[in-house]
Amino acid sequence: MNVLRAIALALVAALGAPCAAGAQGVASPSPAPATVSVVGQVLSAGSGYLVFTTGDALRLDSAVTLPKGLRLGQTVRALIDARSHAITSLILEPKALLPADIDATKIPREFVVASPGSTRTGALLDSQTGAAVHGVTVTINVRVPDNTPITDDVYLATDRTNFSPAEIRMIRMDARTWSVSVQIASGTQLRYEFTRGNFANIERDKLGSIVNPRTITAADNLQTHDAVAHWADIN
Amino acid sequence: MKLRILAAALGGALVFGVPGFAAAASPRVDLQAASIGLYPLADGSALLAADGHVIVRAGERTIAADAVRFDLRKNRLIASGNVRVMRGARAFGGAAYALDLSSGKAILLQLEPLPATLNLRDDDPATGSEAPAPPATFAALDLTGSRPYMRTRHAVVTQNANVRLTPAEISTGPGPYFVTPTYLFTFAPTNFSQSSLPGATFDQPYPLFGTANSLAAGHLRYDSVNGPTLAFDEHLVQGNNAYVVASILPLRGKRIDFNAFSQIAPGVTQSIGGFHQYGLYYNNFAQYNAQWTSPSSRLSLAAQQFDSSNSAGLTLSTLDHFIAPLLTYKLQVGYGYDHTPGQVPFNNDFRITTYGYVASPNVRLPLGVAASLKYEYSIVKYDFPHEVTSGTATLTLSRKVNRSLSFVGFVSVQETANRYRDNAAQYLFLPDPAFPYFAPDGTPYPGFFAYSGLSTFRTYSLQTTWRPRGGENSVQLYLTRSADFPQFHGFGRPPYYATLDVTQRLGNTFRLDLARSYAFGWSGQYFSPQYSISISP
Repeated sequence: MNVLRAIALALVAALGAPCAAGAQGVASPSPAPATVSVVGQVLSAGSGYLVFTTGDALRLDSAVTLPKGLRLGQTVRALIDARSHAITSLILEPKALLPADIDATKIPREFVVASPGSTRTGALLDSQTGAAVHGVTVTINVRVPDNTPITDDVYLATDRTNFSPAEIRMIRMDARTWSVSVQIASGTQLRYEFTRGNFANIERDKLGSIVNPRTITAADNLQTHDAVAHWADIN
Repeated sequence: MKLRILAAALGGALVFGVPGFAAAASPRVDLQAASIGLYPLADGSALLAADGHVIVRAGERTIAADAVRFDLRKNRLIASGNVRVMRGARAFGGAAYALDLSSGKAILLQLEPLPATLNLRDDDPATGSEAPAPPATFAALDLTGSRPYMRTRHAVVTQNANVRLTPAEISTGPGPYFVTPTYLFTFAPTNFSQSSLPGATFDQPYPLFGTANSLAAGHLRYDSVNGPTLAFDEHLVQGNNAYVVASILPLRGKRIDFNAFSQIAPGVTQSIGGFHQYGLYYNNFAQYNAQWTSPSSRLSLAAQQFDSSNSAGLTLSTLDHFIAPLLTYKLQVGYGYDHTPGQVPFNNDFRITTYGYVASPNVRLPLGVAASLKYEYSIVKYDFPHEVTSGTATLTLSRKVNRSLSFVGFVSVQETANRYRDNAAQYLFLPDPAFPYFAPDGTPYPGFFAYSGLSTFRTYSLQTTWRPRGGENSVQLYLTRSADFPQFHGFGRPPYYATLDVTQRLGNTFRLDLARSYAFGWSGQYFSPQYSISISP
């Protein structure tokens, strides 16, 4: 009888437990993922570790073969076994980020291997991943002083030619505004000044001093709206 | 005259004396690798990326690694993969090594027995302290897919100044790399933008030697007068406060130029310059200028000499003042002296100059047209009773039809009266029937000089620009009509002028600007063509 009672109680418990939990509104825990996907840049690999440029080292599974041509700074996707905390697979230059990808700056700390004295406790800064370089068009617009001779052209002089004063002739847009579009690599820093074709008529600031070249970092559809305060040859 | 130019240069150097030009020798870093790429970077820095059997020698330190990234502006390098550091008798290894060359601080990453980072003092792991590395210590850009601006196998970095690549392979955009025996890439935070070279349609500098505040360069140049030619220049620069630049064109268009500038105090500047032209033409020019600019006005002292003529003047001028929303104006008055040998009746003369202009802002009109109007007037009165007055009115109309197509047109009318007050010496300039003026084609114009006292210049110009989607490539058509008086066949400006200008990008580092111009009905020809070519990166 006791045995039957025990079986009955066990059945009730087995059947009733989920109902009771549901009635209390508590969700059952979702299963932990088998792998964690981390995207970051490689600093070094060897001695059974892969080190990201964040300085965090992760253990490499013994079955993993390092891909050929792995370069310093190269972006990789590392698949980490959630149980062993070891990298089981490496993908070079992933085409796009996946929803499950974790940036290497946010890697769970339990996956990182470090001696006690080198273990980080605080949060990391964002990674300094280099964006892919591609050609972009930047448009430079400039307003010139009213006393600029109407028949003179305005030129752009850039650090690409060591500020050759007649490097690029700009296009007149109205009585005082000139414009030019230049295609350069994204992220490139361009330093430039304005001239009327010669260093004798280069721009000066309002107080007649040398103008520090303007600086832009090339980005898609970047537009500048500059102004020349004064020409060196016109009082 | 050469002596005079040299004396002026020496005087300039003494007057402008800039002790900051003397730079202490910067330490050097030597890199050798299977491949080294130079990448100009977004944050203004330049990066050397060395891969494959890299050896770096920096002072007493030698670093061997699989890869090194050297941020030239920040003076920091990161070595990675089989790193071995040797300093004197000390040697140690690691997986990565970050070195700040300015402070000498280094951080070593070792993977065995457990990954650990050591802060090193004097590159001695025995005295190093273990601590977590700051997050950006080993940050390195992903350069996959990007082409280096230059490539080499040996680079010598002069810290805070430049890097010499030997040999150097220079990117030509999508095409093959151009090989030169050596190239000096300057990344000094110095304003080397000033030059004394005359303008050219193409100028490719080739830096030869340099420090943080000096640069010597050769230039491959092209201009429409001299054709292709070579030039050399030397810069000495002290921030934005002063510079001295000298240049020479030793082959075609032979000339020596000199140019110096210094800012004595905020708003107070002086400059000196000149050139000596030799060979086919022989001319000398020198000028000195001092300016004092206040928030509302400017006082200028200018003196110049061209061959044996010289002049000097003192000018007080307002700055451009804007009276919102109506107009911008400027007024100017000056007193000067001219010495012109051989000029009748006096070699020496004094003059008072007055000048002013008013200009309207851009006014929006119907149909998307913007208009602005400017009027300038000047009077120059000489002690010898002679005066020149000139008034110029300019109306500019512009219309941007859409992102690609725009028009700009202007009409400019200038009236100039060059006369002798009280009939003084007017007889000197009256026409002499016995010696009429002959036009270039031999036609006599007995009364031409009678009109030289009064002249009118009218310019009508229309510029049409087609710039697809506001991009870099463009087609421009300029049409200009000049109606001048006096003007006749073969004299003055061409009555009709047309230019077609095409700009086309032909690669990442090659932009071509081709222009074809025609002057119509001028110099006895129906039309005369002219080309111009401009190449830029």
